[in-house]
Amino acid sequence: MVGIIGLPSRSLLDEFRADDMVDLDCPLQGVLSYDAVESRCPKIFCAVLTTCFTNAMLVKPHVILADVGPGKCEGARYLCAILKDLLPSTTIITEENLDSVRRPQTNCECYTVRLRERMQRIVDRVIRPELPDFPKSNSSPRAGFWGVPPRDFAILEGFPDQTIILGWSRCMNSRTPADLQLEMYVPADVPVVFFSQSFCQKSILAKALAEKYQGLFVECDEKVDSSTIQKIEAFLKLRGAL
Amino acid sequence: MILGDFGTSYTKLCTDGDMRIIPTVELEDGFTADFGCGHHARGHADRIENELVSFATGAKAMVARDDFVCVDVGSRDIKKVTFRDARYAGCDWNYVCGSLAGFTMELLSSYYHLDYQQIQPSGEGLPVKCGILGISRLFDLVAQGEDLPRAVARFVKGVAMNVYHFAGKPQTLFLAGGMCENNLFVRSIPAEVVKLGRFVSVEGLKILIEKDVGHR
Repeated sequence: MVGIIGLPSRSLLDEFRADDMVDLDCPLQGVLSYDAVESRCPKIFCAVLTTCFTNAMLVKPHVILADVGPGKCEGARYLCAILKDLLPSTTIITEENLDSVRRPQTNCECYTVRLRERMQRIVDRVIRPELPDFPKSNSSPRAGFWGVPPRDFAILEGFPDQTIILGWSRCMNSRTPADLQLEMYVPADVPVVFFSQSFCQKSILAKALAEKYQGLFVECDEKVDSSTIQKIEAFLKLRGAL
Repeated sequence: MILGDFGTSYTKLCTDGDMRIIPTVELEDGFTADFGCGHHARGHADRIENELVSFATGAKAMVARDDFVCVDVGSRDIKKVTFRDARYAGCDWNYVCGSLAGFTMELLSSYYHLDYQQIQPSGEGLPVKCGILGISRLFDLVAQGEDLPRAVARFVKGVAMNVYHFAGKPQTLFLAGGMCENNLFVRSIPAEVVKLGRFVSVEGLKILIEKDVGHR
């Protein structure tokens, strides 16, 4: 089993295509407990990295491929250093993925498929690149979601299908995770929800861009709460997106 | 037609144009409005509107300006809505750091038998991150010998400054909710305060249901 953290480069992933892969950033079925990392992982910490940590400790892949460069975060670099110590039987290969050739971001602009399903496809394509892209729509978006794929996809439920995917999720779809220019792209006149995982360094981008584009800044930890859902619903309704 | 804003502490009702406020805990079992909003709307209204939507709709109807910010200070949370060029520009909802401020002020007045109308505002505020942390600082001040009304005035000033900063430090702040009736709180805000009263969200519900009927 090969575990993936972040979005490693295409060339590195291709070396391990014959192996079973698991995306350690995603909550795995049957892996519900933080007990495996509780003594080493602070409570006030990124929920996505905590998920990576928990999954790695429970799944114990024989290889972990991790992007620890500007396309992921320093947290991943530190996590991999810790995992090297805790999982001596696991080969941990770290790199800085600086892939810069963008692939089309059609999943981000397909307005006939629900936002959650499109986001899931973007995430699934990390380890299953053979999955087809959804086709790009010719129409204009009614709303936007900016940010990383959230720890809790329930936050995506209230958006209209005509929601454009922006931010790092767009970079992920493009397979250029360190592409800051693409990450900061926001179309004019679209009401955008700028999302950040709590305790993530990207929150400063989310907050500043929300102010610049008159969007809504929200941050969530592990689970999205009903007040945040209502705040997003109100924003989308009052800006005419719902 | 019954419209209701079912808040944490108080419910604001409009029954065929007749407005009244009752403590939410005193709502009769089985009481149901036709259209409602608020933290306790579930189970008390046949149809529920998002409380930020009803609040923003009411504020827009009640304020004859193109650019303004309106803040509703409730028992449990603080809501803000901003309009620019007569267009909805944003909303925010502080239900963590600003939480329980209104509830705590009411609790204090009952506990100490205080009349907020009689207390002079303080120029200096307590750092009130939330109602619970703020009340702890207040008790410390009182234990250190601070005059009770002055200590309470500093607590209220702290809450007022939180609200003022949350609103984005406007020159004019449109205020909604029960705090409109607390003169000490209103006078502690360093801005011109225009009081809209406690029925802003109910006014919003009226407009939204009229629109809805018009569409049918």
